[in-house]
Amino acid sequence: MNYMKDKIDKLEFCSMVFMLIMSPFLGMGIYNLLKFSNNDAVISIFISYILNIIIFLIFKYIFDYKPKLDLNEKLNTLFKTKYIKISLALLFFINLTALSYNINSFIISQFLSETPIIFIVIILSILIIYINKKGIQIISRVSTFLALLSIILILIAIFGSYSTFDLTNILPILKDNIKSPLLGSFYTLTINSIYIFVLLIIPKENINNNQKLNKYIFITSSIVFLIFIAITTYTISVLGINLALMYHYPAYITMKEITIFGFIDKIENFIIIHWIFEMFITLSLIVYFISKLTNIKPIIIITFNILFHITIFTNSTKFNYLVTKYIPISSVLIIIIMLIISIKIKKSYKTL
Amino acid sequence: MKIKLIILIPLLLFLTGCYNYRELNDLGITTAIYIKKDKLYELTIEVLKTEKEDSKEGDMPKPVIFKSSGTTIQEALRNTILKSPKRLYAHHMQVLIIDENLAKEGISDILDLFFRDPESRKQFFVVVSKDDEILETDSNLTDTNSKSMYERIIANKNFLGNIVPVTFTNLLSKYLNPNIEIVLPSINIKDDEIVFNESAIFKKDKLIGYISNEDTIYLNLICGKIKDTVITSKDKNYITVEINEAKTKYKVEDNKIEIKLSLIGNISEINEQIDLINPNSINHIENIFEEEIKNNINNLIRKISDYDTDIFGFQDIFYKYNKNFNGLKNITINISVNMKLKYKGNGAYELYER
Amino acid sequence: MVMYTKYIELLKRETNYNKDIIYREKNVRGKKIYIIFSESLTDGSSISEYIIKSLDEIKKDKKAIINDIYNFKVIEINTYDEIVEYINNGFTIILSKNYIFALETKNKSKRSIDIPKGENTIRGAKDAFTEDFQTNIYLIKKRIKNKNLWIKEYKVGNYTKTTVDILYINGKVDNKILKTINEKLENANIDGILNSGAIKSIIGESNINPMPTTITTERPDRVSKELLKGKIAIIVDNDPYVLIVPAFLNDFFKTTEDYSEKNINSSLTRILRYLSFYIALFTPALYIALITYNQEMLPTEFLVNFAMQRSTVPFPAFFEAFMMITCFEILRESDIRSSGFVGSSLSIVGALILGEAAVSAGIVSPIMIIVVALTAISSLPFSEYELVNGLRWYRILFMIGASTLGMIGIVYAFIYFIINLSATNLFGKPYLMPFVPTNFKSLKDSIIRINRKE
Repeated sequence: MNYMKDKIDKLEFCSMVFMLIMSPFLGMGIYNLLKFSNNDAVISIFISYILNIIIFLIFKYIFDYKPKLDLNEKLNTLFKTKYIKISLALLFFINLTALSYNINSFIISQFLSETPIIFIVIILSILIIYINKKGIQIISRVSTFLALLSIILILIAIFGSYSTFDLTNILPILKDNIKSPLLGSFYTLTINSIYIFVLLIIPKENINNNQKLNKYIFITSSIVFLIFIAITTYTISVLGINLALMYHYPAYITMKEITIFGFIDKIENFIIIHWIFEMFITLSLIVYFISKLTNIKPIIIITFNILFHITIFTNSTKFNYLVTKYIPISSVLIIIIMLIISIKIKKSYKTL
Repeated sequence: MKIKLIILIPLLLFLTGCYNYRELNDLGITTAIYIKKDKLYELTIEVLKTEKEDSKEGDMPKPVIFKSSGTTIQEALRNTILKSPKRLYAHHMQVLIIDENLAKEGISDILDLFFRDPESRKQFFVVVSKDDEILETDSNLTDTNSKSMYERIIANKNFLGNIVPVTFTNLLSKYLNPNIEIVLPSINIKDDEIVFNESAIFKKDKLIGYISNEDTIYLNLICGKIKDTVITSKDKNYITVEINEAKTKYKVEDNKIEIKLSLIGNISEINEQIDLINPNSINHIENIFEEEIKNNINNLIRKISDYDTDIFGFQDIFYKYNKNFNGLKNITINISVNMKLKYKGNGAYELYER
Repeated sequence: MVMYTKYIELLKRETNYNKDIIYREKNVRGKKIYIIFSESLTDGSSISEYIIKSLDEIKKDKKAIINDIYNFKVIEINTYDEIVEYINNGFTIILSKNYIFALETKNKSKRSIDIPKGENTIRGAKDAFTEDFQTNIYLIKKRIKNKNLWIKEYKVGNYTKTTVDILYINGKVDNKILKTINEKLENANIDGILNSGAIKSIIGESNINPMPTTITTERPDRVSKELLKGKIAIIVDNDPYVLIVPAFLNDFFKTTEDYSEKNINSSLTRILRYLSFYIALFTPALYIALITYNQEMLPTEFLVNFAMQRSTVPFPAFFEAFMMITCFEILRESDIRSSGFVGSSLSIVGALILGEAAVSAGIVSPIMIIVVALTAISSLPFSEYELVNGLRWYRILFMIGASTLGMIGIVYAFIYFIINLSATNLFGKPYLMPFVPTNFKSLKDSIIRINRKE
C-alpha cells in the first residue's frame, strides 16, 4: 500500500506524541501513581522520565529501520507468522477499552449523571469512526489544532492554582526506602508512555523534514513530563496527600480550587475539556493502529469496545481493580514484544 | 449507506433523551444547611426563591426555609420533596452549620455525603452553631443570612484574623490527617443577629471546648495564616498596631521547636504619652508588643495542652521534618517575636494637651 | 470551393426567420455582399459608420477589406458554426462568395462603473465590477501593468456560451491548480451559466462542507491583491462578482484595508474578527448548555437572576432558543429580499417583534434577546455572504449538541467541526492552511500581522 501521498509535518507528529503521552495521566495515571508512591510521587515521575529514555530508544530503533515501510510491512518482512501482529493488536485493544471506559465514566459521573453510559460511548465512537475514515493526515491535523487548545487550557490551570498552594504538604520526602517511588514510577511508565509505540504505524519517510525528528520527540516528551510534575505537585499541595488518595480523579478535584483574578472561579468544567480532546486523539490513533495492523474495519473494533463496556466493566470499582491488575501486565508484554522486534531487526542487519 | 447514516445519527442524538436536562426553575438553589440530630437528623435548609415577585425590582428575594428529617443526611435532603417540588441543588452552597451538640458527639458521619456528591463544590465554609433556629433569624440587610456569613468570613480572613476560615476541603484534609486537629468558627444569636464569637476546638472529631476571639488571632499567628490584623497592647493605656505582614518560620529539632514570628506593621492609634519623635520610643513600643505577644502565645499553648489537642499542627510539622514528637506537653517550644513598626500614619507626634 | 452564400439560407431556416437578425444585401459593381448582424446585440451607429459607409469606399476583395475597412477588429472565419457564434456575440458578418469576415460591433449600453454595494471600506478605491467582462478586465489590468498577467478564455454552457476568463500572474501561480481548472472548464457539460456562482460547482467545490472555498468579490483592488499573491481570478460575463480561487479560511478575515494601516491596528482588528466569528458560532449553544445542563459554571447571582427571568416563560430553554434564532434568520432573509417600498417598515416591525413586545408578552426572556442580538451583531463584520451561511449551519449543529448533552455536546460538535474543516482540501491544499499544517511564514499574516511590506 502506498502511503506516499499522506505527508505529515514534523510539528503534527510531535503534537500526536504530546496527546498520546498526556492523555492517560489525568485519569488512571495519577490515581495509581498516588496510590503506590504516596508522598514520593514527584520522585516517581523523575525516575520514570529517566526510564522513559529506554522506551524512546526502542521506538527510535524500530522507527529507523527501513524508513519507507510502516509497522505492518516491517513485521511482514521480519516474521513469517502472524502471531506478533495479533498479539500486539489484542494488547492495544485491552488498553483501548480501559482508556475508553476511563473517559466515559468520568463524563458520566461528573457531567451527565443520569444518562446511561451506552449513549456517550456510542457518540464518541461515531466520531472516532468518522475520523478514521478520513485517514491519518486528517488525524494529525486535528491533533495539532486540539493540542494547541489543550496547552492553552493547561497553562490557564497551572497559573490559576497558585493561590491555595501549600508546598509543605509534599514533605516528608523519602520517608521509607526507595521502594515506593520505584513502584510508582513503574506504574506511571506502563500506563502513560506505552502509547508512543502506536506511532510506529506511520512510515518515517512520510514526515516532512525528518532530520531532527528524534530531538523534537525528546523535547515534546520532556515538556509532557514537566506538566506531569506540575500537576502532581499541585494536587498534593492543595489537597494534602491523604485527601488526594481518596478521590477517583484527584487532578480534577484540584482544579475546583482555581481562582483567577479573584472572580473567575468555576471553570473546572471548562478546563477539563482538554482531557477529552487528548483522549479522543489517543483513542482514534489506537483504532487506526489496530485497523492498519490487522485489516479489520474500525467499526468492528469499536463494536467490540462497546461490548466490553457493557459486559466486563460493569461498575467503577471493578474497573479500578482490573486496571490495577492487568494494564501493567499488558504494557510490559507490549514492551517485550517491541524488544523481540528490535532483536530481530538487529539479527537482520547482521545477516545482510 | 450514507442515507442510513444521515438518518441514524440525528435519531441517536435525540434518543439520548436529554436525561440530564434541568430547567432553571426546577432547581432549588440551596445556600445554607443547618444540621442537628435528635434521634434522626433534622435539617434546616435555606433555599433561594426564584419566582418573579411583583415587588420592587433589584431586591434580592427573601429565602425560603425548609425543615426535614431522616436517618441519614441524604435521606433528609430528599425528603424535602415532601414540602416543595424542587430538587435541591447544592452547588452554590455557601455555609454548612453544625449544631453544637452534634459536634460534641462527632462530625464524622456528616462528612461523607458532601465528600462523595459530584454536584457540590467543596468551597463552602463550615461553622458550629450554639443556638437553634439560626437560619430563621431575620437579616435586616438585603443579603441572605448565608451570604452575609460567607462574606463576613472572607472579610475577616483578609482584615481581622479573628476566625479560622475552614472550607470543606480544608476540613476533610485536616480530618484525614492524623497529625493535626480541627478548629472551626462558631456562631450564636445575640440581639437578633448572628455573631461570630468563639472558635471551637476539636479532638479527633468531637468538640471539646472553645477559645476566645483574641486567642484565635494568636492561633492564626502561629500557623502563619494572618494577612492583616490589629493588635492592641494593654500596657498602661492602649496602643493599637495594624499588622500588614506576618511571617512564621519554624526550626525543628528532636522534641524541640523554635517559632520565629516576624511582624511588620504601622501604629494606628496611640493613647499613651510616649515621645514619638525619639527613635528609642519606637523600639520601646516594639518591645512592649513583642513581650505581650510572646506571653499570650505561651498562655495559649499551655491552655491547649491542658485540652490535649494539637490544633497548631506541631505534630504535623515534626512529621514533615522527620523528627521525634512526644506529645504537646513534652516538647519545648521557644517563641521569638520580632516586630517592626515602620510608619505611624500622618502624625509625627501623638496628640496630648499641651 | 464552398459557396458561402448558401449559409444564409441555412441561417434563416435555423433561426426561424427571426426578425432580429438583419440581412443587408449590398450590390456593388456586380458583386453581392451580405451584411448580417443581430440588431439587439449590435450597435447600429457603428455598423453604419464603420462598415456600410466604408464598404462604399473600398474595393471588395478580400485583401482590401482586411486592409482598409474602418472597423477596428476584423477576423476571418470560414465555417458555419463560427458565423452563428460571432453573430450571437454581437459581431457583424460580411459574407460574400469566397470570404467571410466578422467585425466587432458590440452594443455599448452597459452599466457604468459604480460604487461597490456589498463590501464597504473606509479607505480605498470606490469602483466596482460591472456585468461586462471587458470592463472588468480593464479594471484589473489598469492596476497590474505587467506582461505576466495572462488571460485564458473559455466559453462554457451549451446554450449560453458564456465567456469565462481566467486571470493569473505567470510565475506566481501554482500550475497544478491551473491544470485542474483547465480540465474542468473544458469538459464542462452544462446547459448554461447565468452567474459566477455556477462556476463553483463546475470547478469542484465540495457540496458537503458548508464553508466557502472561493472568495466572491466585486472590488477590483481586492482581486488585484489576491492575484499578486498567486491566486487565480475567474471573471464570468454578465456577472459583476468575480471569483478568486483557491480561498482558505484565513482569507475571509482579511480586507484590503489591513494593508494600508499599521501592524498593531490591523492586528487588533483581525483579532476582533476572529473573536466575532467564534461568538457568532457559540453564543446560543453556550446559553442553552449553561442554563440547562451545566448550571455550575454560572455565578450565583446570574443563576438567581436568570431563574427569575425564566420563571414566567412557558417554553423550555432550547425551544425558546431555536425559535428566536429562526425568527432572526427569517428577518435577515426578508431584509435582503424585500424591495424598497416595503423594506424599511417591515424590518422595523420585525425588530419590534423580536424585542420588547415578545418580552412583555411573556414569550421569551430578556436574556434570550441579548443572546440573539449578540449573535446577529457578530455576523456582520464579514463581507462574504457564504461564510455567514456556513456559520449558520454549524451554529445549529452546536445548538443541537447543547440541547442533548450540554457542554459535552458542544465539545463533540466542536470536534466534528474541526474534523470537517481539516478534511477539506482545495486542489490538494488543506483548507486550514496557515494554522494546521503550520507554516510559520504564512502565520505572520494570519491572526496578527507582523510584516509590513506585503
